Amino acid sequence: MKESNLKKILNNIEEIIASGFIILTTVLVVINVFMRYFLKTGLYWSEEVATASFVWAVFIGAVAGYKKGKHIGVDILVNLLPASIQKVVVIMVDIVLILLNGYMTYLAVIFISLSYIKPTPVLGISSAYISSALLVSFTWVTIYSVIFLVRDIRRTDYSKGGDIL
Amino acid sequence: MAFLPILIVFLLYFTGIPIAYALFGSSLTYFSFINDASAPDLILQRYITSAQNFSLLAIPFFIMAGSIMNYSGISSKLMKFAEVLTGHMTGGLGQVNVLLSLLMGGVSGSANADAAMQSKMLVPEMEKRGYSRAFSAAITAASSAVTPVIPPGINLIVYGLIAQVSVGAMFMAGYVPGVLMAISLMIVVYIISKKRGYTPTREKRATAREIFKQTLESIWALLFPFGIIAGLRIGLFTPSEAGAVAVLYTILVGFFIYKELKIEHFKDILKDTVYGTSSVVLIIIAANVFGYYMSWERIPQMLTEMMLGITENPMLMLLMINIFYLILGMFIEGGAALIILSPLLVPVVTQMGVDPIHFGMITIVNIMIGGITPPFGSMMFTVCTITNTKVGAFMKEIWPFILALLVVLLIITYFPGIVMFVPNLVF
Amino acid sequence: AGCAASEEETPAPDGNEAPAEEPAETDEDYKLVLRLSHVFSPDEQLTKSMDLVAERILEKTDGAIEIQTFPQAQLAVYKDGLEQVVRGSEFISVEDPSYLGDYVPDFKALVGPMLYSEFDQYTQMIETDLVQDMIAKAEEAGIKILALDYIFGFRNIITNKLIVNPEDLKGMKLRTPGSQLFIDSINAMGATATPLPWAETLSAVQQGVVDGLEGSEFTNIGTKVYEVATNVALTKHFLGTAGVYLSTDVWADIPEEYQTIIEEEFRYGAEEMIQIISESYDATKAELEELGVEFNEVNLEAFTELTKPVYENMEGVTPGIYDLLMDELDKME
Ligand code: NA
Ligand code: NA
Repeated sequence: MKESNLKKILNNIEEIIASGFIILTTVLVVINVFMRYFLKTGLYWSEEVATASFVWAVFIGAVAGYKKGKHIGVDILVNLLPASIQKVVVIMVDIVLILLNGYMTYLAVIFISLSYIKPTPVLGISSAYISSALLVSFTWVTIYSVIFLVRDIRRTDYSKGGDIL
Repeated sequence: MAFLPILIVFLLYFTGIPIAYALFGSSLTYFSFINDASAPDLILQRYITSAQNFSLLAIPFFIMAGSIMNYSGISSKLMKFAEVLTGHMTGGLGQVNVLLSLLMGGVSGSANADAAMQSKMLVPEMEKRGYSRAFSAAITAASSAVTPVIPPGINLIVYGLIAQVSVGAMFMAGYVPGVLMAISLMIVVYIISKKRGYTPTREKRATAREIFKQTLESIWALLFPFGIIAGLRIGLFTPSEAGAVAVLYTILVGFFIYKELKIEHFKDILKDTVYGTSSVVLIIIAANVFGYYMSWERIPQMLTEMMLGITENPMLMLLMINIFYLILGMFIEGGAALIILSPLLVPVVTQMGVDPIHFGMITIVNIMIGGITPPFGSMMFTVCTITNTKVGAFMKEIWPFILALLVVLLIITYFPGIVMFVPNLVF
Repeated sequence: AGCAASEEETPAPDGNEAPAEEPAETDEDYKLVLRLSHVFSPDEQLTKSMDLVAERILEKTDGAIEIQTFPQAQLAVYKDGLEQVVRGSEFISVEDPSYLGDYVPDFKALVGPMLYSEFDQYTQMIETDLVQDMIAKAEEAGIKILALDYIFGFRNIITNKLIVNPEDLKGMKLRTPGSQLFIDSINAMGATATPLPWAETLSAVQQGVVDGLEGSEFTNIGTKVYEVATNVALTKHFLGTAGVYLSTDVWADIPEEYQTIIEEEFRYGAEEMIQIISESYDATKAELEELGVEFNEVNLEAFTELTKPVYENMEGVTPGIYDLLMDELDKME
């Protein structure tokens, strides 16, 4: 059956959002270079917005990488273990990641609720426009961590730890 | 207790947890349970500050430019040029890989960007011609260490500011060590290729006529590095902005000159950029957060003091510092080591009569070696991630290159004249 | 680099915190470690002064108050540093007073453009009721101000062209730190503010990405700016100064006798630093002249006139703050 467009978009939503931020970052820097050189003027806010957009690209991109298991880790020791112990390790790693990501989400809530009044240096807008990238990213990754745990518990072929390279 | 986070990182690291998360986990343990001088959520400041850094933009820009070059026919033309020059040597494509990094040195100045770009551009090509993937990954990582030593490397600028020496002199000091590093890597490529039968890509040395012909054919590709150097020299853009202009350039050449680039290619180009950027930058952020814990506990200072207690002989001290940097460089991100340690070590060595520019080159070459040395190394991670190489396989292939670079490190450490020759000539 | 030192700026509503508690009784075993963070490099006077102050406090409190100094942004700096303070960390932030402007907006005006021509004017200014009120407001926001006058010199415009009048700056791109106050002020003076990271600044000037920068003579000599730009127009458009900030909650828990020592030593350290900077300024200037740098006076009235609107556009400041500050300056003469 052919995948509907909507489904395709939803499946790759993290990549699409992160790509949007990468494009924005690139376009801003290029425009600023040309304005500065040819029009002798520049967008004074371009560095701040470009780097903020980059932060979003990185943290949303990190969700995509997490989902597709592209973050790099070391599996040498785990691979040496007997298969039954490997399953235990993989599940324990899943639990550690749920705890860690959940904790980072919790910290992000506290951090943003107390720091949103801090304005950005150039535009003077709330720093939450940037720091929310952390909250969105950690929340999203926590959800995937839970999904991975469920998957790894159910899985019989556990020799290859899904999100571990 | 102050050292517990270091143990935690190792523990997590060897369970196979992604390295960025291992570093996050141990730093958070420290600020949540070990030290209560500051609220734990405030460490998130560092997540943002270290990511919102204009210099880091070079990474997505050059990954994107590299990816576009693949689709637009630029890279194959640039490679053909490097091939005409070095293809007749044993392990031709390996030699091309090194030469290209040297050429790119004048462009990006970022080892990670170079590693990312050539992982995309050269590794698949090398595999096609019978090189093992791990070897291809290893030479790509090792040669990326050359890039930041050639001006305009960001680290040269950062060090110049920290040590309060002329950035211009730092630039000049980079050429000779950079070329030496490239030569040493080419020798290793030669030896290994000979042993494994990685053949030259062409039968004999190209004639001047052939070189001229290939230069013309590859002119738009060659203009890429040279155009960027020219852009920097005429003040069109700064080193960080150069990457964005490179993206634009590759798009224009791909669409209008070589006409190989298509709109639909951008889906894959952006995908490459997103994955390449986020995984690499996430590790840089995590290393920075971990470095924050180390600074907070003054661990680098403790180690430095310990070393000063051991010797006051400059030659011995440089050897010790080299070893110290090498060990530290295995575990923490090079830029962080440079920023944290240089201010402490520069006064120590200058007191002993070492020129700070000379010391700067030693430091930068050293942390570049650290970047390709397991178990932690940012270029190692970049290359392994993008080429899908297992760290274990990479380890087996990288050590001869590390050895070669260590020889260069020793040479530049004990023959300051090699480093200082060009800066003394110019300034 | 000292140039990266004094930047940044922007408004925010006051973050009110609970009033300070009663000071605790002095305890024989009392021990407090405070981490002091700033962006200056080891060679700069501010770093040396902070180390000296920390040393003296350790000695005079018999080791009870240990201030560990962290130069060059090893720990949180700028807005992050102030945030550590406001959030009650055992942390001392040493930053340009304009950063206080996120909590008490009038501080942005205190260090606004074209206000002072002598160090004395500023040191007298911070003793006035006007500024003392601001200090009290900062305390309500959770910031105990231990000093505001670690002065490291005036910032001037450094280019390769003679700048005397605002018209001379027309079409010139000047590097500034990424800070609203700096961008607005440099634009008001007639140039085009171009925020760039400090790390790229010197090569940007050399290659012509920008036409110049602004900074103090100490930055000029310390980072070898003179290698790329040789004209210094003495605009004195900003006074480079750093303040010392600590959480009021942390402060309240420090025994009174130690509080006295801390306050006295930070005050003395500032006086000492102003003395040192004043004494070394002429030598630094002479050294720069020997290296080929040319200094010139500028049309101060014209620049002052142009920067007045900057004060009106500052968000959250007391209306008429510029006139209030000018009144105080007039009283001094
Ligand atoms: Na290479
Ligand atoms: Na390493």
